[in-house]
Amino acid sequence: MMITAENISRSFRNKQGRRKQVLNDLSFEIPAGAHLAILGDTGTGKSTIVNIIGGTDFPDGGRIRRAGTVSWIFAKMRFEKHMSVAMNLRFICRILGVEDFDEKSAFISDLTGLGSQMRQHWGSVSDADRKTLNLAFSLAFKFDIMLFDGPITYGGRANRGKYEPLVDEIMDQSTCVSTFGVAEHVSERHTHVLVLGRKSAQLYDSRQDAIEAFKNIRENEAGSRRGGPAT
Amino acid sequence: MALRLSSGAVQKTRSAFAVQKSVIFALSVREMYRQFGEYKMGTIWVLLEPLLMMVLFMGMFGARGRGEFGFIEPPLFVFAAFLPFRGLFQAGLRETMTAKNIHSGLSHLRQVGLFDVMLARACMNVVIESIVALIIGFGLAWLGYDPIPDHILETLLGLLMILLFGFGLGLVFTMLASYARELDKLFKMLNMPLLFLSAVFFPMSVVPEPYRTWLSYNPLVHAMEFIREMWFAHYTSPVLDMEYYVAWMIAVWSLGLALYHQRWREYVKAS
Repeated sequence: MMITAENISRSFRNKQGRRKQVLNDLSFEIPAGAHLAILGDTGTGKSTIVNIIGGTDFPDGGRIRRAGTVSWIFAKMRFEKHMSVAMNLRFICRILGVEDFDEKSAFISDLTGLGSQMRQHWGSVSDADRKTLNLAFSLAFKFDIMLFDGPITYGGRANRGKYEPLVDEIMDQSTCVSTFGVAEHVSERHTHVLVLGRKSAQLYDSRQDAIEAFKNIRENEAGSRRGGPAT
Repeated sequence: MALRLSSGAVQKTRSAFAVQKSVIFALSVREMYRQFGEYKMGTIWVLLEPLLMMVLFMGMFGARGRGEFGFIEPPLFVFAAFLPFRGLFQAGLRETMTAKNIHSGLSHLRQVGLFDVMLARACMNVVIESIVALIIGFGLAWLGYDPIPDHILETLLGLLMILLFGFGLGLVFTMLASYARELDKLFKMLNMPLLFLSAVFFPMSVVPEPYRTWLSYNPLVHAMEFIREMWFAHYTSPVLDMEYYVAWMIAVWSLGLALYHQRWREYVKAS
């Protein structure tokens, strides 16, 4: 198994100081080479699961095991704005134990064509270029588990044509975990779908079943909201 | 909480020590760039503050008609006391307590732990303070003073111990503050009184009883006196008790590490 979650629970404190249980005793197993889609409305804990798999958040109880290296969330690296892009890259390489900075740097500037921006401070790089660079940083490193949170923004049609095949390539090589709020966005490639409701979580290994279940959950919850006592 | 299964990994996984080593190095370099990448007043202040302190002391003791401090010239006294206290103890305390702010900017990298940030910041500070000490030391030598400690190795040991004390105390404070945020402010207010209660501006030999006994309950007094005794061979401290100090240090570090082990995930989760 590439990812094993055993009885994970996680609660957050809301603004009123009350604890809100987001994940309750959740267990699932994802084999190597499979792709997991997490389908749910906002506030059902999609990102929380991704962060827990990524090791940047921790469950209150239960444990998570992974059988390999795990990425940061795709195209969501945070950069230090007082350092140049190249220095940011060096920092990440050092953290990951990658010694060949030059190779990674050449890969990113060849891919993006932003060679001169690499020497600029991150703070002075334009927003569009930041998006492109962030995308390229995620494409430059290989991980056993790749994490995606939300739809990938390519920033323009030209970029999409260029980077989409590379993202597909990642899906061939790694076990991917992605989140979706819209059932139709779950692609054919996702072998496992974890459907999250307000109080429920269920893993399906058929996309069709999962979409069906998600629609049911939506209707039920919308119904219970309408029919429930006014608060 | 997270375990790594041994089978099925495509990529070579690194040992925990290898990860920590590279993370601390990466953080140190990054923090250096962040602090000194651009011209800032803070860069100059690192050097100016101890220099101003020395001038002030020389002025004060000069005005009282005494050219020296009883056993040593004022600039050397400040060099051997204020500089280590500010640059090692207070810096160790500050860096551990501010590490969580830096860590919250790095929380997207699972390899970076809170303790790594603390260690990296502390290492960086030691390097900076050593450079400051070297510059001032050369300056003092040029002016005809003797800035070299009489017992060099023992002095370095004393300096290391005061750094470790600051670091350990910072660790305890940081972790206690995770129970109640208000404690953070309280601990920061301790900094100033500690400066006056730790025999930084005066040797214990000039303090009369019963204040001498009272002050010697402060473990930092012993560290400062130890450094002083080793630095100036002709000074003998009336209160020095290193066993007392080491007992404190072991207690502080045990408490700090135990609290860290219990609480660091809560810290990351809360931010």
